[in-house]
Amino acid sequence: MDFSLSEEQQMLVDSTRIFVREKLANRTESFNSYDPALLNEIANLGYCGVTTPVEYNGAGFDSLCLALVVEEIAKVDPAMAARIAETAGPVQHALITFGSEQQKLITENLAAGTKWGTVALWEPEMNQLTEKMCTIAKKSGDSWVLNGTKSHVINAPNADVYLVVAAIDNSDSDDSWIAFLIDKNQSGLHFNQVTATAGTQPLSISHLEFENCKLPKNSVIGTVELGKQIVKSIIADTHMLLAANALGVAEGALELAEEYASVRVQFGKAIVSFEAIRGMLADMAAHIEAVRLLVYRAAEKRGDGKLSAMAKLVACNTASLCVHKSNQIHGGYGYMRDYAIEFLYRDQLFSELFWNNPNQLRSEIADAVTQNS
Amino acid sequence: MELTDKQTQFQQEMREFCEQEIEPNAAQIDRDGEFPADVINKVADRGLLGMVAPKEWGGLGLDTVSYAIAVEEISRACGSTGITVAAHNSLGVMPMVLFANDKQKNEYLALLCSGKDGLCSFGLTEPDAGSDAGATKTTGVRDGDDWIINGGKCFITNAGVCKALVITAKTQKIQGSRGISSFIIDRDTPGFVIGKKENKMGLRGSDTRELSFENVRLPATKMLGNEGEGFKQFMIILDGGRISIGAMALGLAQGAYDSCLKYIRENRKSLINSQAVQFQLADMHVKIQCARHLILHASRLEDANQTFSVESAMAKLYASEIGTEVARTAMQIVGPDAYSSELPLERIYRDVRLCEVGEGTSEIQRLVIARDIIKCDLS
Repeated sequence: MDFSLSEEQQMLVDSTRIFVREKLANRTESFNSYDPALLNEIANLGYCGVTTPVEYNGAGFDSLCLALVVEEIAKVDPAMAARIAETAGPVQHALITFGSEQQKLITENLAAGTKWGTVALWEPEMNQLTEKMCTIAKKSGDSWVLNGTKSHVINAPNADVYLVVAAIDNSDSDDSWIAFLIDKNQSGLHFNQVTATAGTQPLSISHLEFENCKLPKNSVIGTVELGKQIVKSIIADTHMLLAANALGVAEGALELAEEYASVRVQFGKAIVSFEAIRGMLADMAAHIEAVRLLVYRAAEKRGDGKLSAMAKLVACNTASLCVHKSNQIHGGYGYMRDYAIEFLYRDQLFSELFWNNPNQLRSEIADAVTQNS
Repeated sequence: MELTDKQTQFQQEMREFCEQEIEPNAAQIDRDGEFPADVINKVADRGLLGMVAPKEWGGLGLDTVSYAIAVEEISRACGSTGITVAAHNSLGVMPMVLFANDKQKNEYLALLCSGKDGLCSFGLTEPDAGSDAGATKTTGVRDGDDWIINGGKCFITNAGVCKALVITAKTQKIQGSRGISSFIIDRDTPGFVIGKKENKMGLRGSDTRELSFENVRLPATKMLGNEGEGFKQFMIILDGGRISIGAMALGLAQGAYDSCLKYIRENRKSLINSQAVQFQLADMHVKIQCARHLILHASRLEDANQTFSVESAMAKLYASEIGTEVARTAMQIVGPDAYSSELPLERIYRDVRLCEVGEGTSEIQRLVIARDIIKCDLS
């Protein structure tokens, strides 16, 4: 087994690190949205098309490269990492894998970062696949009519296209789903931004409402039969990238703790020399190392639902442990909004609370494990 | 051991008062980040700014058990209000009760218990003296009948809304924690500057500020207790303060648990059938009850005039750590809705973080407990 990164992967990590240090670090808490110049720069650097094939304007790198970019950016800005992950990961992957030629052409804009995409799958009463989807797509002649509400869509006000999943009207089973690619200017589509969130403010998390939203036939992604497969692909991709996000948060928290502990002096010495503090740093580092291997493995095996669920479960737990210990090491200063660990502590919640929560992930993993036995 | 009838009745009254007068304001207090003056006025009207002071000095003369109950109930409704009341009582009023002479008590106690001219506060922490509180750099130098104070403090709760504070300063050039003395300082003393309000993760209504002293002249009558007793005094003060921070963490944990249960009942009934969720609720409930018992135990020891230093450290350590755990588990159960300020959970999660740090970090509590176990100085 070779655990080292390829030359290409390492170069991407190194260049991303430089970009993050120069442009994203030293952020202050006071912003709710990104400077268009920064987004432009991100677009130009190709972060939105890491895995997209070269013929569609992407870099054509492997899926681990995307996880590596998300990880590096999440070390200082989990919101930006999530925004990039959403458009570069599940949206483009679904279009490239299942989409029509016309839809694949849209990925050119997404990969170039001139347009942004996001996924609308979950609903107020549907937080896991075993629950009933209430957004209904009804066939009407050659087109479809969409009605319902999608909840907690990230980056919704800033996205140009939405990948929306709906249940097919009058179908025999509860999991007859259909996926659409919908433009933000689509009539009958409204969104309500969720009031203040604990962290990741620039993600502008919102609910989407579809009111007799009339969609032409060509907005269906793939075929009706592929709906379930598309949903599974989206979930696996998102879980894997949220795991990479959580891994980055954990590493960012450890870096801040190391820095602070080596300069903070109490009882006549730097607190990094106290065994209790060293133990915390060691726990963080050990957990991160374990999580990194799992996340990278899930990234390499893109689309593996079980591995992605495992990676998200364990990575979010480690991120939580790391922001907590790092914040604790920072003492009173960690409670102040001018310290980076303060907002990482809040931003960490995003990857943990969104998409499947730990109990749902356990259930998914248990299903996979017991099927194999 | 049960609560007495009087304590039970007090608890019911507090629950009712907090649900009616405090809880409805909690989200806005957090959102605006403004000191909740109206709420504190209502708290003052009920005498709750003098809970720990004897009746003869204008207080309610409550026992520690009742005081802990009050802090728990207030914090269950609103963390910002909880810390304001807890710091005022435990760190502001209590040093006056324990160490002030009758003249000082006459001047300050009844006034502070009424809250009419502002709250009280305790200036101990400095930028370089946090866990190592003995490393105080603020100095007091004798000049005739006066003391000249120079230096600064940070993270001082209630600083911007106080009438007076108790502060510590090094008055003798002795190594280590000896040579520290306490003073009472009025808000408007020349040379005393109260800095800008800190922008905090949580407890955003609570007023936390820096203090600076530039040649502040205090008459010797403002010294609290005797010269050089400061370290001993604040160790005693923090023993009691820990009960209140523990009670605050407990109230926040209870608030998170209650909010999670309410959400399940009203929005996601299917979760009640999830064994995973049932077990999480059971674990949360057990932890909350353990914390409550530890706090009650430490409070009863204090009420019985027995030593309670280790017990209050255990209570504070446990309650604050499970406070964070309970808040986080509650958020996990609720899911993405918990990320929004429409539910109190994310606010509680931010508020309770302070409890593992303020008035002695968890590490300092462990040190206190370990020293007691091993019965020798481990530093």
